[in-house]
Amino acid sequence: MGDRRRNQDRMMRILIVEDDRPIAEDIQLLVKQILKREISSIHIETTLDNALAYLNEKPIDVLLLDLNLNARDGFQILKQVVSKSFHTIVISANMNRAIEAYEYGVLDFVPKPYNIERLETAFRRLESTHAADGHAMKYLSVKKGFKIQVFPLDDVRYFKSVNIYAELYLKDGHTEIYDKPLKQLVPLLPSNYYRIHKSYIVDTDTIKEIQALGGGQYRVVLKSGDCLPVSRKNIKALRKLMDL
Amino acid sequence: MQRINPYFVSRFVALLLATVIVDRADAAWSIITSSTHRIIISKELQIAEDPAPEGPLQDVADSSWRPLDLDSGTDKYDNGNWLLRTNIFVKDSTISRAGLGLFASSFVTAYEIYWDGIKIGQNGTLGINVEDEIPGLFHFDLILPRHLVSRGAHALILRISNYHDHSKWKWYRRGQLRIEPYSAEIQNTFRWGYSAFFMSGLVFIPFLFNLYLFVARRRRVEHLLFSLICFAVIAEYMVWQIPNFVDLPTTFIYWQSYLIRSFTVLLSVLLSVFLVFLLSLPQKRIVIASILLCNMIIGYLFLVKFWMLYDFMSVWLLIESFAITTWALVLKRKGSLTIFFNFLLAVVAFMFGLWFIGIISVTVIYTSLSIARQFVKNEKAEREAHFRSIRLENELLRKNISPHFLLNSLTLIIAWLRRDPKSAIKLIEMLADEFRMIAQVASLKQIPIREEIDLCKTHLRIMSYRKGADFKLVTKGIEKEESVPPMIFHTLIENGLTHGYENRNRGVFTLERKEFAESIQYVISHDGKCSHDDIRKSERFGMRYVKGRLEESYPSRWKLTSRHAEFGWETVVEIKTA
Repeated sequence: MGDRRRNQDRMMRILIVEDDRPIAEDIQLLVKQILKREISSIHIETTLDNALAYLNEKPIDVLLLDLNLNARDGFQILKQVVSKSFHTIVISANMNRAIEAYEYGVLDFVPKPYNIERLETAFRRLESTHAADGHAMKYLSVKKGFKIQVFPLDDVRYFKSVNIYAELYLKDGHTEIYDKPLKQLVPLLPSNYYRIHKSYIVDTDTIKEIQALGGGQYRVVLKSGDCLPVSRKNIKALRKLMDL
Repeated sequence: MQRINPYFVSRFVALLLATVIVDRADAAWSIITSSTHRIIISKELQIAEDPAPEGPLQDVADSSWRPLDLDSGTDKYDNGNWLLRTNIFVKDSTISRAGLGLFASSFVTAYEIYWDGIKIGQNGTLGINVEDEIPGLFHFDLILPRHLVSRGAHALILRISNYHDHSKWKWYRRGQLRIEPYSAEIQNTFRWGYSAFFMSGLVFIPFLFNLYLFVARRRRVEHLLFSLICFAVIAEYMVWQIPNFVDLPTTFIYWQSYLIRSFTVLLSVLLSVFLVFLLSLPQKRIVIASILLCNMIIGYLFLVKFWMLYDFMSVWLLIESFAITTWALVLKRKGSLTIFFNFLLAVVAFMFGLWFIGIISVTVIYTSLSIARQFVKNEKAEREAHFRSIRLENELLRKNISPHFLLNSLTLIIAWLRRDPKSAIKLIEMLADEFRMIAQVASLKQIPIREEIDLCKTHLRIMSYRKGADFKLVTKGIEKEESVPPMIFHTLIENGLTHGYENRNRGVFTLERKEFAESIQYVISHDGKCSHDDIRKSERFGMRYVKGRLEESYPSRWKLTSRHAEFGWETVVEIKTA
């Protein structure tokens, strides 16, 4: 599916981080088979330090990450990488941390040993409108200077698109910059989150009412009091989603 | 202590004096009043030869009666027919209502009892030689006929023949006549009997228990000694009690005397030697020899005066035990304080009149309790050691064939299969080799060092394959066939690999054995990089395993140090041999 559509998007830049080189090369082989010509670059790093150095220098679209790199705790890595603007797919034998990984905003968690079908499913999720059941993110990692700060998803009133970033409007009135565009956030969020407008994502459970402003213009009023515009093309789907 | 001391000392002194000064009271009168509970007649006896042993009792002229000389060591009153007389003055005739009993003990061999010339009882049959004479029973008693116990003076005569007396112990020496209410005697017999059986029952269990422990627990002398102590206590009680079960002749008194005397000396020696072993005092031989010597001297000194021996032994035993425990206290021996308290308790038992047997019983009970406590401690320690072994085995397996590790290996195999099936097969074979070796050593506490080196080499080969690198192990100075705990070098090498070679595809590990006068060192070094931080963070699990194994095999004799070496990192396992 979606070959044509993906071709319309930019070509994908992929980084594989895996400490066993034969495995890394195998993943590279399979990914090339799955994405064929959609790859603009694919690179392997076998150590964490080199991987981070690479990420600082070159922009990528998808990171394929092994959580256990030379016995270092993969979760410290994970918190750092999910705060970045690309999607992360974890490939690990350590299944008992999968749920936690999802909560931090990982697109997919592929258990080892993997196969080509499972990897293909993971790449397909790049196009999804929401996270698979039970695998949605619960926290948002936000880069603040050199530190990573983690916010619970529940603290966010709504997401607003600003260029290639998203702005998080928090319950305490603060605003934080999140390093992923709305398009990339969508597949990570639970199914009750809906992109009501090109520039807004809200939790439909927090919508108090939908107001028609006339002239085909609509807006939602949130329980927090915020009023946000709704695109005309999305109103039907939104009403359906809210059972109105 | 202030109250106890004068009493204790005065009693002790009185005992000593009693052995020297013999009370020569020749007032041959015993007076019975209504308030009399008990009169004991032994020294107040007069003696005369029986003029007509074969016929009925004949009067003997007053001039023929002599006071009984208890201390005569001569053959003055040899085998023959004798008359023993004592005068009793009954002050109050109402006394007869109480039902007075007459109890004769320790007279050998047969006798008849006359009250004012009237025969009121007989124990055994009198004779004029050994064949004629039939010994009486050990326990003898009769109820004084009420009509005879009238107010006024009475003569009590014991007509006795002693042809069965073969002992140096004179037949009369312990002889005793006792007059007291009959009910009181029955009560006393019960009380003494019950307490004796209660105590011997109590001591029987530690006796069996310690005997078993001696056999089962590497023949530790303490257990045998303690078991013997318990046995001697039971035996001593039994010797007292046997006449209550079996009809024994009057001559049993000799056996009883000898046995109890022997047990008393034996117990005194055993208890002291037991303490010497229990508290592991230095110079055991000299100490035990002096204990034996002291007790033998005392035994000899009191050979004749049996009752004195029994009393004196009680005091001596307390002195001896206190001396030993105090010494142990000074030497700060384990458990000396509790045993010291035990003897304080024993002194209390002594003060309450429980005498020798009381001291021993308290000690037996107390010691049994401390042995039980020791067992609980040991069992706990053993259980912990057992759990540690299980834990170590579990850690070994979990680390080396954990599901996580297996899944990674399977992934690697699949990856190789796609590219190069031959290499995949080689990898599977190497993994199988390693698993097989691990399975063999997992449950062992020690393995030959060669096997350990093989394990390390196999692991390095696998890791070379995995990382597309070249890792080697070089050994130095390993010539002897010796054993080491399984997989400690393996674990150290694994740790070095994980942290030291993130960016390298070449590595040399060295295992070197160094022998010193008092220790052996195994130095594992590698040329990778390593920092202390890394070790603190993520090697905890592996290091815990290594430390656990070292402690299991070389309790408190090992040392583990890691440091930067000239070309990398080295870990030193030091095992003290001396």
